[in-house]
Amino acid sequence: MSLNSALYRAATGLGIASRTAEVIAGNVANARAEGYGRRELVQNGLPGAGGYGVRRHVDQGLLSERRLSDAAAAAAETRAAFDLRLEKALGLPDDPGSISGRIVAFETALIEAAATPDSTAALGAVAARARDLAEGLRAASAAVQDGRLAAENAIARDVATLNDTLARIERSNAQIRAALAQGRDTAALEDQRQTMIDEISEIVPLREIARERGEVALYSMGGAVLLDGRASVVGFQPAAAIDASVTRAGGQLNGLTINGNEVSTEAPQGLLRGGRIEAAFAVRDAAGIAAQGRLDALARGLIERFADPAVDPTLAPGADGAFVDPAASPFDPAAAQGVAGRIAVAAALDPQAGGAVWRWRAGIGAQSPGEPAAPQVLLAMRAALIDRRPEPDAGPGAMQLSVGGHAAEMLSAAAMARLDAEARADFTRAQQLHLRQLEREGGIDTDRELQALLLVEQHYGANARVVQAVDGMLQRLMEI
Amino acid sequence: MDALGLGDLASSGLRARQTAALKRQLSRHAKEVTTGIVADPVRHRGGNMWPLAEIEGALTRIYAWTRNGDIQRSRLAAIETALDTVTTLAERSGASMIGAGELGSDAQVTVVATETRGVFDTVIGTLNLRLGDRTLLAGWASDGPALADADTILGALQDAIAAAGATGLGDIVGAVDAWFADPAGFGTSGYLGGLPSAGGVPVAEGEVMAMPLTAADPALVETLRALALGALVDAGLAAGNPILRASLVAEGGRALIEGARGRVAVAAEVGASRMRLDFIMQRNAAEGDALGAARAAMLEADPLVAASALTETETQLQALYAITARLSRLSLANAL
Repeated sequence: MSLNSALYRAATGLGIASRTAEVIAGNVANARAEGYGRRELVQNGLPGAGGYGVRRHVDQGLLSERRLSDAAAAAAETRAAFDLRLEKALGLPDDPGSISGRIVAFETALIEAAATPDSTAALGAVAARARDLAEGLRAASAAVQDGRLAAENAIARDVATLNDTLARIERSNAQIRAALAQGRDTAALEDQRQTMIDEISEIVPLREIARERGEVALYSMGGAVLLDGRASVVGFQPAAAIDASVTRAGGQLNGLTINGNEVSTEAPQGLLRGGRIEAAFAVRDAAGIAAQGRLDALARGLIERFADPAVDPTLAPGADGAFVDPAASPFDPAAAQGVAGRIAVAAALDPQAGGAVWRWRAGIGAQSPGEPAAPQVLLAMRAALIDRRPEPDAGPGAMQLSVGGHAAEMLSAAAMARLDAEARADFTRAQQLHLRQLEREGGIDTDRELQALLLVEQHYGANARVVQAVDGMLQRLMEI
Repeated sequence: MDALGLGDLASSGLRARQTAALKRQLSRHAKEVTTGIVADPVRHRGGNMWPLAEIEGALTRIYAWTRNGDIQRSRLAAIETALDTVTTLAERSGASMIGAGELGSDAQVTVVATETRGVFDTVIGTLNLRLGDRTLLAGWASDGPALADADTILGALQDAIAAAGATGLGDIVGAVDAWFADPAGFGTSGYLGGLPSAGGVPVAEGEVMAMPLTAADPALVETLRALALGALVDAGLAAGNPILRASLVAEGGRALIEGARGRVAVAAEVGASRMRLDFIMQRNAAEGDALGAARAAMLEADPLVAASALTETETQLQALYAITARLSRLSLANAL
């Protein structure tokens, strides 16, 4: 009978209207939740729920692009943070605590002591400034090694997060598969899974591939399988402590494994390249080592310039001068790695180490304080400091610079690297913000949801009128 | 259909980001306006820290050289004064010694010899010039006196004369000359200082002011030698031989007058040093001013630009606040 059919249709319409209202209510309630994909009631022709189902709107292309930019931004920021740390450790020349400032202060103390070599105070100032300089180099070296240790810890943290999240995504895949089999709504589970994938996309840039029955597979952009059915296990053994002698090349530091297989961590071919984890490896194994190398060259140059009988005639050939490497006496250029972290003032010259300040004037090997106004050693030391020489072990065509010049050169290199890294970080962050903005624009607009709700209200009212009208007709029939 | 909506998070997120960016700008401009120095010198200089390092180094060095120059100037001034004193005393003694020795009576010779002995003491005291605890005319051995005291020198001379068995004028003068010229004589027991400072005081790049003058300078030794002849007479040399006494005093007086040229040359050398130092100090001052200006230009935030940027950012931020307040009131939910 057609009246029954009309009643049935109207009831279905009421059902659709109330389900739509429910979906809209859900959308409005989650208007401020990140990672919530807008739901819509759509006709899907499936038998359950009267041929209607909830569809979750996600722009997959935009999402994966934004995830790549997340990774790039995180990588650039990691690198910029290290470069800034190095620049701060070296310090700007107008800061008396900077390496350049300490070199100039030491040189100035020598100049002033040459005017009053008989003044214990002036010689004491030379000793103090020399100690400051050694201390400054040691502090800068420590800052570089701290940066490497921070990178090592960041890798360990990221690997732990990665493994944990991959396992959770694997469980989420299983839940979605089960919900689909039972014909339940999976949108909330998909929201959750998307948020989890977002969490690791900063660590490793990845590609999400849809698999059957609602599952997703995750591949790194470098080509490693992170999750396909089963989650891979990324392995990393962090070192407890790092100093200049602890390196990857020396075998004291570890790389990454995936499911027990060693994978490369270097920039161009690493399987987990492009994200924060690769940037941390670059800091630990490349940028950090290079920075230490430059500091070592500066410290070594300082030691070698003063270990010269032409500077201090009381020195035996090959003996250490005003600056020493406590790990090797006399200084051994072959064991210069990490010397910036050890460099110290010769004990004979350092009143705090039981030395005598008059040796700055008379020479380290002098038996007696000698003539108190003799300035030659002080003048020669200053000359050694400003003499233009290439860095130790520099190749042909290397710049010939004073000690201060080498420090300024090192600072300029670090500063330029920092600006470069920051420019890259700014660029990737702008891109990331833009994509996030686009993503949000496709998110919940409460005005639009409320407009839809007005339509639903009308729709509901119309269907209710139909029910009422059919009911009236049936009443009429009954009265006959 | 999607293109029709604009997610709530998009507009609020956008405004939050704009607010944060404007606030960052505001704090940077505020810092530049209040300190007058750019907020990030590295960025301002494009990462090239060379010029700044060079200027900082050069400025610090110039300050040190200027301090050294001040020390050196006061030393040279002290030496000039001392040389003036020696010259004045030597000329006055020379005149009276010649007068008494050539024309005067034995009593006058005795008076002048006693006077000369006093002048000998004063000249030695003057040449043992100290500035603070530093002896200026003792070369590098600045911690002790430059010359032994008068009694020691005269005693050594008397011994030398006795050892030579000198009795006549020529023999005595010869013995005195020999003692002053002898490294084992005056060089050891008269002059107690060290070698003249070949190095010296750095006062500018490549400019090291040497201080070569010591109390052992030939002109000063000659003055001492001449005065010693008179002082020896006072000490009893040739007692009872008025003619020899008068001749010795006259000989000393002539040597003093003849030594004037040497003393003038020494004073001129010190004067020239001082002029050179003044010239270098002026150059340092000019260079320091120029470098200071260059350094300021390198780090300076243009106050006008910084202040107008601050005002502009402030206006922008206020506009953003107004818009945020307006937009958050605009919602269909309020109209329904």
